[in-house]
Amino acid sequence: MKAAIVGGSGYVGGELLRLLLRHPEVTVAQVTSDAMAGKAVGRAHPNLRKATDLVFVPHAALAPADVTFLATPHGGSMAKMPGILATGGIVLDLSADFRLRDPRAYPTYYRTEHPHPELLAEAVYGLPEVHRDALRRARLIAVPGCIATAAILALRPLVPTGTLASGPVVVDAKTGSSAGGQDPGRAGSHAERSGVMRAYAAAGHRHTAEIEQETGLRVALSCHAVEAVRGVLATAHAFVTRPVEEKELWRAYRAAYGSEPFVRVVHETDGIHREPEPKILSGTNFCDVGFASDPHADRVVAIAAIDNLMKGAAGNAVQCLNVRLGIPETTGLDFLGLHPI
Amino acid sequence: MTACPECDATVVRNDKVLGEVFPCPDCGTELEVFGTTPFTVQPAPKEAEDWGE
Repeated sequence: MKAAIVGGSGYVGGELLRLLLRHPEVTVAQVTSDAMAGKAVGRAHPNLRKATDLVFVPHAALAPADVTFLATPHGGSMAKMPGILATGGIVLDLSADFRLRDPRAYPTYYRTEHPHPELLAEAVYGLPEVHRDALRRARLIAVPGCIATAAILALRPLVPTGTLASGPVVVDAKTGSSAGGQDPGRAGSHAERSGVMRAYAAAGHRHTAEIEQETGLRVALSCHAVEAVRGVLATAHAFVTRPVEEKELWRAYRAAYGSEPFVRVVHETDGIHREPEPKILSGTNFCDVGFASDPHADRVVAIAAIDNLMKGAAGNAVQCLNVRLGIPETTGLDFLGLHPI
Repeated sequence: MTACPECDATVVRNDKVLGEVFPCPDCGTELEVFGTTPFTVQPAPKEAEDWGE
């Protein structure tokens, strides 16, 4: 099938290209970028030199495709979506424009009214671990945010245990610099970023809305920039109404993810990699989830680690496409990562 | 088969012998085969500080 990537010069676009150029069911027919129009793909993504002859074309030259990936900034696809859908293909939007089912959330979290609330009801939130059946029939797939992905996958197994107290769950997330995209402004300069441990969104982060939507929990989210290029580590502090044994947590996480190809439950009793950590996940589509019981504080700690550009964006989008196509979900996503890295 | 005493994971005997030490496939705990009929396991003793010197 023929694929088009809109906004292909960014980091997420580069990861989509890396994955799709080796995907056995997909041929990348077109990659758009106004800023890089006329230039070879390898100019923006040097790891892809000699892998393709593709040249960026302007957004206006976008042609219909069997599947279109939108790797554009938030707000870039809201208004255009009806026209893109009218071409008849599958659309995977990696921006936030169709992630939230409630249109009233957009003015709160994205400072804009949604111009097509009717499409919010149709869009499927692209997390296969939660919406696999709906993805099989989806026309419009809204690929989740990276921090939201980690937090949702960490927290969801706790919900059916019935042990969570009624107050909010606290989620503390750390993220690498690539989550800010290629043009993060002064905050991304070497002088500002090197050695950073910065609370860039102590409260009010946009992904709060996604996490609440997909878990049904009230969430208090704080986000920090740390010294890394890739990676999200989400540590959730869930307060419980009774002591929870770790065996019970094992059962809950095993029930949720025992058959998932990309979610690994990591909570080991020995060694130096006992809980999830994003470093070893670079370039992979895995989400490692772990947990700990803290009866002293009536607390369960849930932890998830991902590569923000992979399970947090491009890799998860390809997994969604695989689900949609009815082919093995691991197709084109079999990289196991590097160690040491 | 039996269950890991730490995490309740299913542990399969295959051809393990009495006293054999192996890691739990889920939580990584070192388990020792404590009985074969029926198949039972328990956490293996950890090395004391001066072992191996």
